[in-house]
Amino acid sequence: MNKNWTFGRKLTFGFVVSSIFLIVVGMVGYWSNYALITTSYSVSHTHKVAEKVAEYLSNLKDAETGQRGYLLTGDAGYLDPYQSAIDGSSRMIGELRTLTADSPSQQRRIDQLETMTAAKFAELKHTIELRKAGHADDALKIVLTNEGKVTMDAIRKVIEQMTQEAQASLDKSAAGVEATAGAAKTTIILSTIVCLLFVSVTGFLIARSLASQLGAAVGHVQSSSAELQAAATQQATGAKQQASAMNEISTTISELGVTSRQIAESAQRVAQIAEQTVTAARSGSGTVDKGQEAIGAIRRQMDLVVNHMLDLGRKSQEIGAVLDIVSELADQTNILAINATIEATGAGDAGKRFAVVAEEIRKLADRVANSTKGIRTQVEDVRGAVNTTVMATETGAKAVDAGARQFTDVAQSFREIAALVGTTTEAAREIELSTKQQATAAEQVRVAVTDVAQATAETETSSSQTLQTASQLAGLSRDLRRMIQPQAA
Amino acid sequence: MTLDQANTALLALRREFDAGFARAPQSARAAQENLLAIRVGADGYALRIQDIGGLHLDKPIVALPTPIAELKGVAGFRGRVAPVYDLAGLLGHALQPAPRWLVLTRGAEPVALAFAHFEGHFSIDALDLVRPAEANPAAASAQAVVSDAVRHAGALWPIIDIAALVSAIQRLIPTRHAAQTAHKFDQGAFDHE
Repeated sequence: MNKNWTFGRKLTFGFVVSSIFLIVVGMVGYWSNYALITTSYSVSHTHKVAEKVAEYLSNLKDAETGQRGYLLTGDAGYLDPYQSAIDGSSRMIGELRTLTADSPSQQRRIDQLETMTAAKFAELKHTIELRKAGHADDALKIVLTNEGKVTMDAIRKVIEQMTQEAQASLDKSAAGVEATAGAAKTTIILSTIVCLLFVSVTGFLIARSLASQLGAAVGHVQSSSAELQAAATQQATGAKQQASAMNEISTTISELGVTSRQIAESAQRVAQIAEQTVTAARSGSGTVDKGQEAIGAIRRQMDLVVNHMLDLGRKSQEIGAVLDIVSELADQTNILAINATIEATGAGDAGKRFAVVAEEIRKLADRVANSTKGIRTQVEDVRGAVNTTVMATETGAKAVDAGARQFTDVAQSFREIAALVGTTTEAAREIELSTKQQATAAEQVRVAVTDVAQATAETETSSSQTLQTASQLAGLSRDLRRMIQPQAA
Repeated sequence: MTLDQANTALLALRREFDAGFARAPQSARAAQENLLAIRVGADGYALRIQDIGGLHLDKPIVALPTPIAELKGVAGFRGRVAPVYDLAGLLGHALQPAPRWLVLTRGAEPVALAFAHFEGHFSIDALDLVRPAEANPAAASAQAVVSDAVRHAGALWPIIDIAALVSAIQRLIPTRHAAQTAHKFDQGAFDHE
C-alpha cells in the first residue's frame, strides 16, 4: 500500500477490495442459490412429470375399471370414469408433452404412450359398444383375449421407463444440488476467510498508517492550535491596545475638530480685521502723501536756514578777521606802551608824566586786548553755535531727507501693507474655508475612527472567541492524540 | 557776555580812562617797580623794566657762524645792531627753535634776549619782593643771573638780573672776540647815530 495514498484512497481501496470479495461471495452465493433454485425447479418439474405419468396411468386404470364395471353390470353409471379418462387423456398427453419438451426420449415415449393409449381406448370402446349392443359375450371374449392386458402392460412399461428417467433426473439433480451447495459453501467459507484476512490486514495497515498520519496531523493541529492560541492572545491584546488608541485618537480628533472650528472663527475675525486694516492702510497712505508734501516744504525751509546760517558763519569769520586786526593793534599798542614806559623810565624824573600816559595807554591796550579776547570768545561761540546750528540743520535736513525717504518707504509700505493685507484677507478666507473643511473632515475621520474602534472592539471580542476556539481546538487535538496514540497522551 | 554787561564794562572803561587823566601824579607810585612777565620753557620769570631798553616782536634775526650755541645771530634796533642770545639756553633750559619776543638790555653794549612767551607787564610794591632763598628751585642752575623773586597772580616769579646775565654772556665770549665784537658794535652804532 503506497504511503503517499490519502486517507480516503486507502479507505476506498480497502472498501473496494472488501466489496470485491463480498461481490465474489455474493455472486457465488447467488450462483449457488440460482443453481439450487434451478435444480429445485427441475426436481419439481421432474416430480410433476412423475405425477402426470402416474396420473395418466391412473386415468387409464379408471377407464379400464369403468369398462369392466359396465361390462359386468351393464350399468351406464360405470362409464363415467371411462368417459372422464377419455376426455382427460388428450389433455394429459398435451401436458406431458409440454413438461417433457426438453427431453426427446420422453417425447418419444409419449408418442408411444399416445399410440398405445389410443389402442387401449379403441379396445375399450369396442367392448363397451358390444356390450351396449347386447353382445356382452363378444365383449367378454375380447377381454379374455388379454389383448387389453398386453396393451396395458406395454403402457405400464413405457410409463415405468418414463418414471425411471424422471427418477434418474431427480438423482442427477440431487447430486448437482449437493455439488453446488458444497462448492458454494467452500467458496463462501474461503472467500470469507480471505476477506477477513484481507480486511484485518488492510484495517491494520490503514489503522497504523492513519494513526501515524493522523498523529502527525494532530500534532501539527495541536502545535498550530497552540500558535493560534498565542496569536489569538496577541491579537486580543493588540486589539485591546488598538481599541484604547482608537479611543484616544477619537478624543484627539474631536479636540482637533473643536480647534479647527475655533481657528475658522479666528480666521473669520482676522479677515474682518484685515478688511478694516486695508481701509486704514489706504487712509494712512493718503495721510503719508500729505506728510510727504509737508516734509518737502520743511526741506526747502531747512535749505534756506542752512544758507542763512552759512552766511552768518562767513560774517563771523569776517568779524574774526577784524578782531585779528584789532588784537594785533592792541598787542602793538601794548608793546608800544611798554616801550614808552621803558623810555620814560630811562628818562628819569622827566619821563614820569610820560610814564603815566604810557601806563594808561598800556592799560587801555590791555583792556582792548582783553575785550578783543572776550569778543573773540563771543565770536568763536557764535561761530561754534553757527557751526553747530549748520551741522544740526544739515543733520535735520538729512533727517528730513531720510524722513522724506522714510515717508516714501512708509507710503510704499502702506501700499504693500494694503496689498499684503488683501492677500492676508484672501488667505484668511481660504484658511477659514480650509479649516471648515478640515473640521468636517475631522468629524468624518472621528466617525470613521469610532467605527474602527467599534470594529476593533468587535475584533477584540472575535479574538477572544478565537482564543477560546483555539483553546478548545488544542483540547480537542490533545483528546484526538490521546485517542490515536494513547501512549503519547 | 550779555549786552548789559558789555555796556557796563564800556562805562567802567571810559570812567577809569577819564580818571587816569584826572588824577594828580602820586609820589608813592615811585616806590613801585615795573616788571615784565615772561615764560621760558615751563618756568615764569620777571624782568625789571629799568634794566630793559626795549621790547620787540618778530624782529628779523640774522644768523652768524659762531661756536656759541646760545648766540642766535644779530638784529637791528633803531639803527643799532645787537647780538641776540637765547634766554632759555642762558638760563639752562633747552634751546628754543624760533623765539618771537626780544628784549633789548640797557647799557653801552646792549644785548637782545630772545624768548618764546610774553605774559605781560605788571607793577609791584617793594614788599612783594622775595629773598633769593625762596626763589624757584628749577632756576638753580641760573642762580647767578637770578637776583630776587616776586609774587604775582598767585605765583612766584624769579627776577632775572640783567647785569649778571650780561656778565655771564661776556664770560662766554673770548676776550679778543668780545673786544672786536664790542668795537664793531660801537662803530656801527656811532655810524648809524
